[in-house]
Amino acid sequence: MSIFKLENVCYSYEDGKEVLNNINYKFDKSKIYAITGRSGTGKTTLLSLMSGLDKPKSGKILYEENDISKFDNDNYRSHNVGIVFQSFNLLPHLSAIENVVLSMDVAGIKLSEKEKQQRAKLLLEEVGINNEKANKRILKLSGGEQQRVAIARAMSYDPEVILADEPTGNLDKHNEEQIIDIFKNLAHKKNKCIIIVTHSKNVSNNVDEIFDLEKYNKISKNK
Amino acid sequence: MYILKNAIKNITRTKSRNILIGIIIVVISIASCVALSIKNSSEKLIESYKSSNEIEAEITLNRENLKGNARNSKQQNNTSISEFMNNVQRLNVDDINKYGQSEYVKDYYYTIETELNSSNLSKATIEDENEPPDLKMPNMNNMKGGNGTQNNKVLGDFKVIGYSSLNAMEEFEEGTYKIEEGSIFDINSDEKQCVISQDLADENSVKVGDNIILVNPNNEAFTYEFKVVGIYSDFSKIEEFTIFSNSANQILTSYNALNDIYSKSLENSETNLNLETNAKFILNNEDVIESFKSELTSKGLSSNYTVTTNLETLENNLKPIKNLSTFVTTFLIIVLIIGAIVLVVIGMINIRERKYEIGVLRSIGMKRYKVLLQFIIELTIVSFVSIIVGTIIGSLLTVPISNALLKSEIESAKTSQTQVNNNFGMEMPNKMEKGDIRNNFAIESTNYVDKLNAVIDIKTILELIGIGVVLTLVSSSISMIFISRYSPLKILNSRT
Ligand SMILES: Nc1ncnc2c1ncn2[C@@H]1O[C@H](COP(=O)(O)OP(=O)(O)O)[C@@H](O)[C@H]1O
Ligand SMILES: [Mg+2]
Repeated sequence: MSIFKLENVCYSYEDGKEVLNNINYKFDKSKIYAITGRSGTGKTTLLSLMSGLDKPKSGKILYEENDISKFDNDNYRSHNVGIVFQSFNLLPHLSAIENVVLSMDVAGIKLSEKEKQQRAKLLLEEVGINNEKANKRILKLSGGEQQRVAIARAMSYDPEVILADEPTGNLDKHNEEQIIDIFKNLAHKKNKCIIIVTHSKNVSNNVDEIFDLEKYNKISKNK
Repeated sequence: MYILKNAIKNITRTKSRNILIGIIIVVISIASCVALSIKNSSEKLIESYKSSNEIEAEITLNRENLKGNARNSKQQNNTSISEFMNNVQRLNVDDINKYGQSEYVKDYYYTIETELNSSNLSKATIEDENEPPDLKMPNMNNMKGGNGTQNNKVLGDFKVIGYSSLNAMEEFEEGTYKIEEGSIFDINSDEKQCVISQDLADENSVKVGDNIILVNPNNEAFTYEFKVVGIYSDFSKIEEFTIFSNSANQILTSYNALNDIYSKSLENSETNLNLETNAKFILNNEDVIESFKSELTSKGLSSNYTVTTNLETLENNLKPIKNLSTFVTTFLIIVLIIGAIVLVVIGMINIRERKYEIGVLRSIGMKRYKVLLQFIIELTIVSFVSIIVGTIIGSLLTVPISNALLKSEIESAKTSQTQVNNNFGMEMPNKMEKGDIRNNFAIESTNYVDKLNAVIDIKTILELIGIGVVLTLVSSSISMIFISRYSPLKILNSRT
């Protein structure tokens, strides 16, 4: 059974610009997917539809066979999907740990404050943020470090799906491989569905399935 | 719970902005605290002043109407003005009882007054005893309800007043008169008992227990023996150049005793005594004044009379404090409006700064109402602390400020009074024998209510809390609108 199904998804921005046209695709559990395509194809737009931040103009997105437009989107975002935004969307005045704990708070994770902190520390260590950096404000961290905090945050409440928008765009090869390993582990050992938007050959060579959005998108290119 | 934790964290994190908001709310709450406590205490004071000062009504001649009616009757019936005046119905005790039986009247009492001579007392006066009595200054009071110019009857040496009730003896209640020896007469009895002034007693070497003999000035054969049961001193201000008090030649007795004499004098038109009747009606409250007036008209009070009350005097005394209350209320409204505007503006700046934060919180799945709650908690804590600080400072400032303001209101009231006096080209003496029911209220001087004990009470505190809630809502209104309107994606996309 597919965890995600895109059925005839169409989307256009308010200015009338058509971005997605009649997209059909399926995503399964225990697999890593790479969404590829040139810049401006609509990859970020598609992720925001899948994360319930926006709704398709027509067509349906099914999560476990349910139309997500009929969900409580806040609950869906805070429990079912972990999102790594292209622009991270971390709170700059909070520390890395605080950002991760906040996400657990919002998800309503039943752990004590101490346990949450502990868990956040472990997750951050896993993505390569050591204890010293973990207590620094996001403002003081580099782009690559922020990106890794965003990944840790997306994993913090153990969602079934991780939607990551170019999560390794700011990372060097070593760190990129480390993240790929983490994702692989999540998909293959913990039966999660990992969907990564990426330009990196290194990433797409390591995934189970490549979803080339450009091919599926039937936008007339003469625009 | 994490919402509260976040809120507290945010307050300490964004110190400078919260200090700014805090200062504004402190200023607003100082102003509100001072204004509210002044307003509430003046209202209380007005309330208690009104409840401790009864509304008193009197029936007096309406000279305007009287003149008109006199002219009319001269034209129509060719009656002379003095004839007309003789025919004007005098107030009598039956009328007063009739008027007093009213649902609007709490209590009423009356006095009757006549003039008698005495065979064993001589008048306390510095004037020549042999001076003919009709050269005396005409007694103004006789114009009111008394016989006045009615006939050429001889006026007596002594003013004898009969009281229906101890309440009618206001000089004693107020302390203008004080019994020095003996006691007051039995108010309900018709026994011939009386109290006389110290001056009169000294002049004639009368002691408590002595008898005095009063004589009908129209017929010396009519004599009445009164027992002096008490002697009083008069502490009122003396305006004439004299060694005697104003009331030196007054003899006070009960209504029943004097009425007995009067009734007997009516047997013969020769001996008929002049009688002046005055009444005071204590009304339930100021709202029934008009009803009482129209009731009197329907009960037959002629248009020659009018009902006057002490309402104006009471209102006048309260004027400074009422002005203060109005001023302070206006001030409060202005402060609140300006405060609200400032807070809204800050709220807008706040939202611009925190837009991204809202977007992030929403994008990780925090519900709208929780984000909102967090913002409101932040502002509530800031305003709560500020209001407490403001209230403490305000309560320290309230008493000096309220007294200073009240003082200036009284000054300006006095200045305008002086202005009136200047218009007359004279200094208006505050002539008054206060409480004397034979006086018009109009000449009573103004005793401004000049002490305001402005303290913070429960009502003020509740109102301050109310203002605090409103201010918090106002200052968070912008965030509320923003948070409930925009989707997280829109907020994040519009990031600049
Ligand atoms: N908020 C927006 N309003 C209007 N057009 C947008 C908006 N966001 C993106 N677009 C346009 O939609 C297209 C797809 O954008 P995006 O999904 O970000 O592409 P990708 O992530 O594949 O680079 C682009 O042409 C972009 O200019
Ligand atoms: Mg993109």
